[in-house]
Amino acid sequence: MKKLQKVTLTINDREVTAKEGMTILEAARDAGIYIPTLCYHEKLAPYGACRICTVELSRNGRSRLVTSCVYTVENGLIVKTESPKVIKVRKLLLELMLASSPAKAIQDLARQYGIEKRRFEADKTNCILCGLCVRYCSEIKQANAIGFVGRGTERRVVFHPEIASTVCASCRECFSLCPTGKLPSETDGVCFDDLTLDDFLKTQQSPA
Amino acid sequence: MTKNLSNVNQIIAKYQGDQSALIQMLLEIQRENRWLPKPVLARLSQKLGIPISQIYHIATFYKAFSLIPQGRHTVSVCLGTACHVRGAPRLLDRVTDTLKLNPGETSVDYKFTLKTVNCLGCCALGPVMVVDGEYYGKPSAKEIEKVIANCD
Amino acid sequence: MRLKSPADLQEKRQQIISLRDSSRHCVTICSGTACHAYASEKTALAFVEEIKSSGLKDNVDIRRTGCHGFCERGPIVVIFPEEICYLGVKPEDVSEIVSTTLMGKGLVDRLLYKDSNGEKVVHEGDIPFYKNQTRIVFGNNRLIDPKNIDDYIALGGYDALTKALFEMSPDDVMEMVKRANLRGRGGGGFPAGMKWETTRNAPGKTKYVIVNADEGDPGAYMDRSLLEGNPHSVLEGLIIGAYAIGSHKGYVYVRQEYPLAIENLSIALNQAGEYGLLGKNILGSRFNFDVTVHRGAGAFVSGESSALMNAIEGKVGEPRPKYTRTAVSGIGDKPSNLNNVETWANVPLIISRGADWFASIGTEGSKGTKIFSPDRWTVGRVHT
Repeated sequence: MKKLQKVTLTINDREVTAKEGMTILEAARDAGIYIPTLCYHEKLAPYGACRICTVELSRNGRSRLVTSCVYTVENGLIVKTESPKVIKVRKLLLELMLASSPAKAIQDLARQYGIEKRRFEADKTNCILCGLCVRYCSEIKQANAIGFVGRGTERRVVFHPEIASTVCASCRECFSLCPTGKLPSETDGVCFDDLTLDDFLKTQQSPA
Repeated sequence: MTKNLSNVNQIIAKYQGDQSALIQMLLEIQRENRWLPKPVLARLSQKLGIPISQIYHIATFYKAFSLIPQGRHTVSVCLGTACHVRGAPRLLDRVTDTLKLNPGETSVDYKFTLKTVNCLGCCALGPVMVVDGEYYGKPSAKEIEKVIANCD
Repeated sequence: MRLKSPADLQEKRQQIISLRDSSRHCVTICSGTACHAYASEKTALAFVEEIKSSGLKDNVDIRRTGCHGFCERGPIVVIFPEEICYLGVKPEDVSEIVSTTLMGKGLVDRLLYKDSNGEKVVHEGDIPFYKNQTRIVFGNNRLIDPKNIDDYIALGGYDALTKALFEMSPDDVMEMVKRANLRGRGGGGFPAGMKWETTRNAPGKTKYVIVNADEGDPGAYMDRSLLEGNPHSVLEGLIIGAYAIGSHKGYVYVRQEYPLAIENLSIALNQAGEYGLLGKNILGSRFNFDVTVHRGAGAFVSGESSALMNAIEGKVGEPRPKYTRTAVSGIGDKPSNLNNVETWANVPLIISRGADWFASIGTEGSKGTKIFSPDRWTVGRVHT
């Protein structure tokens, strides 16, 4: 097996050694450096949905914001995890998520980053589309009982009763992963009380 | 329904059961049936070895697909930027008045479905209405009525 | 009839040209989507009927061509060899055109373009819309029937491919495109040659080349017109690129809102295959290359490179979260070179006329020409 090269980068002015192929998030965690996440799970392929793990990279006087859970480490990277640009982005992201869910995990982060304004209208979905449930059911359980439907602002998570009715009652492992608590609180374990695929399709029929 | 399912087998065979051709298969099923019936999707899932959740994700992601039956005649009004500045909203109003349908709706007799689309690439004709693949640029109220009335 | 060598292609071209008399009248009717929406097909049929009933069938050719670009004034009819351009031609105008212009030597004034001074303009090239344009990529649209490969061959089509396959190495082709400084015409403006090189040098034997015809910007229909009107120009460029990169499989991702482009492209692929210009052992060069058309299903976001490749894999057409270049890891994680329709169409011109010629057009940082889609409210993209 090919031996993985070492990669050296700087995170928050600290030199960090990582293995080739690691992401910035993994390298930071390994080094005990905190980067907040909501959609990350060490057993699942990184997804980049919540963007809370955004960090700032600088090189040659120019900087850019990247999603640390999907950005592979490179030699010489200079990373800032709490720069003013990063904090500004995180605050906006959290403010947007609060419009979808009042969940404790989001409230805690909001408090941490000093969010006071709530400028966005609540959408009452109680879902931030982190995809943990969908991805866990697909990648780990390989059951695919729950999935995404729709696109953009119409995207929702629904159970598929054809599968869910046979596997969910004895599993429910996604319940503890859900950052908003939607899964444990709004489902009978086979489908959401108010959102089946047919419910979703009815919403698509309404005029724009 | 048996006809639908045997058509599906033919379509799958046409693409040699290649999973990567799923979207192409769905396009053909949509064109033949005017929607994607659930038993047909279940058959696709089974034959191609693709989870039904993935098929529903694709079917609800793309505008070309419908999971509910659509009308025999599809009337589309382009709301792309160029058509918009050329008066597409007013055209849409005239079309909704004529059909007595809102965008996304299908008439109860399954004769018409009204859709909006974004940019068909013939902006110089805008605003554009398409009925069953025939393009009409800047149609007058009278022309709209005539075209709709001619649909059987 | 399969062409097995460059000599066969030359012979075929001579054969096509010998059966054509360029001194005869040829009535061309634009049959792009926009003119088609103006019922150009009814106009075309009216010409067929009128020419037949006037006894001119053996003296006048009729050709339905690709988009001329002046969509606002369609249906556009251009009569060769004089290049008399009539605009907004309806079926009821046809008998007057036949008797006045084809049988007589007159003009039907009311159908000519009138400039801002009321002066009439007879020739298409003199119309202000066209006058200041150098239509190197788009210009052949008006001369060819996109459903007939012979028209493309008659104009020199596939000579660039022959030159690339038989007189140049893949490296030579790569270097020429790099020297020409062809930049992506899809909006990104990334140097095409550089992207080709990245794909070629990426590890792995299997590589793909892709045409991005998912043009979704409202008001932009350059790619639609080019793919409908001259699909072989895009295909020829794609095969040349595949040769340079070392790819034997290509995809054309076309949005399903462009049914005529899909139709004409499919016909072009079949005809190219029949002639041995596509498939195994192209023109006897031992280079194999095959193309699959993938239709979109109505999602603007699927025009982004990684999203498009996801869609080709049969997955949801969403961008990939990872920061990897698709030139290195694309379809099925294999190196995949994606370029826009117009980018590919420039390639045969560069090979035929050379990098220096191409670089002599355009600005310091941006070589070559750019197709625009203007209408009364101008929309389009400008290369700076």
